[in-house]
Amino acid sequence: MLRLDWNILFTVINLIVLFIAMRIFLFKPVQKIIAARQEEADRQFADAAASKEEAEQLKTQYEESLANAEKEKVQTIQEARKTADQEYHRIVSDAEAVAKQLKEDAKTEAETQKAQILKNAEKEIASMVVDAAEKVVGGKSGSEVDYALYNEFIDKAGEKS
Amino acid sequence: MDKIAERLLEELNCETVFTIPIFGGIAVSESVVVTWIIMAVLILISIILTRNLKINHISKRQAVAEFIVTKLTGMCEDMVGPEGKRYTCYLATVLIYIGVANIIGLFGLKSPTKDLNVTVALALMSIILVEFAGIYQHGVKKWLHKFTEPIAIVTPINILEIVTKPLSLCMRLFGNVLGAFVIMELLKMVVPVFIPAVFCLYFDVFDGLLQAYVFVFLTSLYIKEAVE
Repeated sequence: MLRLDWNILFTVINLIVLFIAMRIFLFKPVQKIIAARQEEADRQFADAAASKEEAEQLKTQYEESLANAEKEKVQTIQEARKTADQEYHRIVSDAEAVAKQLKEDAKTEAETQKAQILKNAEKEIASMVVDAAEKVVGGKSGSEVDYALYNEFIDKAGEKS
Repeated sequence: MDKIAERLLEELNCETVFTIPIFGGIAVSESVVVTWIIMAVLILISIILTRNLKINHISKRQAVAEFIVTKLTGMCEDMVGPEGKRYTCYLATVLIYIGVANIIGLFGLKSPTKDLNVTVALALMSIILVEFAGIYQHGVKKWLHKFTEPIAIVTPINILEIVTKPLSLCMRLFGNVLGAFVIMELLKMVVPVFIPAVFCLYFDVFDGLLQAYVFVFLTSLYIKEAVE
């Protein structure tokens, strides 16, 4: 019970051997597996965080493209309106020009016709005058003739008109 | 009365199991042989528990192994502090060993801790570890300087502590186990029925584990002190 001898040394050796054995067979493997599990969990968390970030990025991207589309729409509408406006103005001015042309044409026509009529009238008058002259010349002379001619003309003209 | 004393002494005496025939015969005592048995059992259990470890879908066996390891190392780490983290494996091993050694009496074997050789060896290991931890952490110069802290006059007491620390460790463990054993034997002689069973729970199981805890707790306290 109370003797001290070589058994101290044996016990020390036993303890060291036990310590090393427990370390090899119990503590090391279990701690290793726990560390591995921790690592796996960390990795999964990191993966989840990365996925979330990616989704977030995609979301912002989509939102951006949506906003762009909206903007584009507005712009397109504006452009279309502008083009339509221009077209309208163009058509209206064309129409105005055409109308003006027509009007002028008509005017020219009318004037030509008027000239034609006048010419015809003159011709007729001239022939009438000749007729009347022939008739007057048949009976009178001198100033009498002139006078008669004149009267005749006036009468004829009055009749005519 | 003489008979009782004789029986007690007989129970207490650590018999020599066999003698190694060199240097004029080295007596290998019962405590060492029982320690071998304990070692064999512990190593066997460890191997069985840690066979085929997996990360996911763990078996009950692995769950038990992980529970034991995390609890023991966690407990030792709490006691020894973050600086002495590398000593937790040794402390946990000593905790298991003393705990098993103290309650192995329940299985009919003689507790190795009832032999002074074993407790002396444990205490020696502890003080060597404590001083090693101090030297490892601070270097020889600082370690030597620590003997003169907080003031120079306490240096002899600090040096004396190298002896008193393991002495108290060893004697506390030995005395507790011995005392518990003597009381249990006396109780068994006086009242052989029922009463020993109740006291056995306290003296053999609770006190045994408590002493293991106290031994490891004090050792880790010394280590913590040394590495600070």
